[in-house]
Amino acid sequence: MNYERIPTEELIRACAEPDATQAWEEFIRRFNPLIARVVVRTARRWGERSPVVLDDLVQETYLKLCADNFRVLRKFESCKPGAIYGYIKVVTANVVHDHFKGARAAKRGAGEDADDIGIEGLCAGSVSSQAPLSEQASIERTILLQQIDQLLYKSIPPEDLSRSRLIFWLYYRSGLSASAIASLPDMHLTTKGVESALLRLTRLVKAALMESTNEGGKKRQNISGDRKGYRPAESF
Amino acid sequence: MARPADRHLTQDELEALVSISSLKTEEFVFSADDSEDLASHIAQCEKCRALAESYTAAEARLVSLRSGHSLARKDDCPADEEWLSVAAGLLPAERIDRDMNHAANCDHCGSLLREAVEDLTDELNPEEEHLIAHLTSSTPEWQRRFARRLCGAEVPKASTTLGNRWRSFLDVIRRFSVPALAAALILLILGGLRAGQWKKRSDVQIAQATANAERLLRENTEQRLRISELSAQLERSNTQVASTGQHAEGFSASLVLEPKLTRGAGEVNRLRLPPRAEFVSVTLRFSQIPSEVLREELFTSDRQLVWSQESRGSADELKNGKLLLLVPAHVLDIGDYQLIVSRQSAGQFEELATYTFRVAR
Repeated sequence: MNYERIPTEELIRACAEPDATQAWEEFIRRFNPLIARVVVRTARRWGERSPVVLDDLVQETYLKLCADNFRVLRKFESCKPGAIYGYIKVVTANVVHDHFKGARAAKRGAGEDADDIGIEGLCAGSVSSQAPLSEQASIERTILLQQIDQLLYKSIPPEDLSRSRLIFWLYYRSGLSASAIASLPDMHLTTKGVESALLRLTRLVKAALMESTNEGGKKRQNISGDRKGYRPAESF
Repeated sequence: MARPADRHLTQDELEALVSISSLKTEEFVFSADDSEDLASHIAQCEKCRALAESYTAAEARLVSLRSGHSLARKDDCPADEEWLSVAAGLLPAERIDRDMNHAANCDHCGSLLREAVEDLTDELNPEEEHLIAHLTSSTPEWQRRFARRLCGAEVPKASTTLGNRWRSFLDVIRRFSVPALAAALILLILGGLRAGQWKKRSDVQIAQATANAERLLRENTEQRLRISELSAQLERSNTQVASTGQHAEGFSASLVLEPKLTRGAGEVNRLRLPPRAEFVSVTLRFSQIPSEVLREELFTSDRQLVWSQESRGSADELKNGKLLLLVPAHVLDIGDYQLIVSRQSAGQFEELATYTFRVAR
C-alpha cells in the first residue's frame, strides 16, 4: 500500500495494525521534522543543545506515542483538519519538559543544591531576566496598566475592543511578538495585520501618555480621566 | 536640500527616529540624509526636541509594561500545562478565547503562553535549522531502522502464524475423517470464530508491539538515568582509569581494546560477563582521538546492530588517546562482536576504527 498519499488519520490507524513497518516509515517521514523542531525549541528553553540528547528525545517521543497500545494517539479526537499536527507538537513538548523536570528532580534527589544544577537544570522561561520590581515600581506599573486599559475601553469601538485589547496586552505585557500573536488560534490575522493593529493602538496610547507626561510636569494627572487630552486615532 | 526650520517633525518621522520597538510605519523610508536633517532640526527646534523627548518617555513607559519576572499563579489561573494546548488550538474555541484573555491580563499566564507559542512555532533560526539537519534522527537511514524497531521485529509474521493455524485446523479434520463433520466445522469456524480469531491474532500482535515499545521506553529511561549516575562516577575516577587501566568501582566488567582486526581465535579479546552485570566499561585505544562527534556502533557477528551512541571525546580522553564507553550489559550475549567507531565529517560519518571482542559468561 502506498502510505504517502493517505490522510494522516488513516495513517495513524495503519500504524496500529500489525506489521506496520511501512506505515511507521511514512509516519516518521511525515512527522519527524515537526517533532525535531519542537524538541530543539523546547530543549533549548532548558539549555540543552547536545545532538545526542536531542536525538534521544525525538526517539522518546515516538515511544510515548506507541506506549500503552498507542493510547496517546487513540485518545486524540480531531476537532478540525490538521489538528493532529498541533496535538503531536503538544505531546512532543510535554515529553521534553517531563524529561528535564525528571532529570532535575533526580539531581535534587541525589543531594545536589539548586546552584549545582546549572543551566540545564532550570527552565530558562521560568527564570527572570530582570530583577523583580520594587514595591513602588510595581504599584506604578499596576496603575499604568489600569489607565491604559481604561483608555482602550474608551477609545476603541465595542466591536473591535476584545481583539484589540488582546493584541495590545499580549504584545506589551506578555511579550509575544506580532508573528506569535498572528499564529494564535482563531486570531485570523496575518503578522502584517497584527503589526498594523499594534501601530494604531500604540499611537493612540502614546499620544495619551505624552499628553499625560506634558501635563504631569505640573501635576499628576489621570490619563483616563474625562479631561481633554489625547485624540483617538481615526481608524477607531 | 536642507530641511526648512519651520517644517516640524511628522508622526512618522518621530516614530522612525525614536521608536525602539519594531512597530514603525512600513511606508516610511528613513535615509541617512533624512536622519541628518531630522537630527539637525531637533537640535535647533525646541518644540520638536520636547516632542521627541516626550515621545521617548512614552515609549519607555510602554516598554515598562512588560512583565519581566514570573509571578506566582493565582486561584483563577488555568493549569500551567494547559497553555501548550491553547497555543496549538486543541481546546474548544470558547475556552481558548477565555484563556487568552486571561493571559493578556495575567503576568504568570502571559509568560507561559509566550513560552508555549515559542516552543510550538514553525519558525526556526539558522542555528536551529543546522542543528536539526545534523541530528541522527533526521537521516532516512535512522528513520527506517527506527520504524522497524517500533513495529517490533521479533513479532511473528502474520502469514506464518496464519499458516500454522490452518495446518492445525486441517489436522483435526484429517483425524476425524468425516466429511460432514469437516463441512460443519468449516462453516462454523468460517461463519463465527474466524472473525474472532482474526481479532484475537491482531490484538495479540498489537499487544506485543505495545509491550515492545513500552519495554524500549522503560529501558531507554532506565539506561539514561543509570548512565547519568555512572558518568558522574566515571568523571570522578577518570584519572585513576587513565593511569592504571582499572575500572571504577560500580562497573561490572571492563575491557580494553586495540584497533585491529583479529587474525585467529587466539587473538580475540575476551570479556567475561558476570550474570548480574549492568554495564561494561569498554576502553578503546586510539593513536589519536578526533575532536569531532564520534559514532560508536556495536554489531553482532551476523551484522545485527545491537547498540549505538554518539559522543565526543572529553579533554582527558583526547589527551590520553583512550575513549571510554559504557555499554549496557543486556545488549551483550555470548558471541563475537564488532565495535565500529566513525567520525562525523561534512555531515557524513566515516569509519575510523574497528574493534572486535568475544563475550563469554
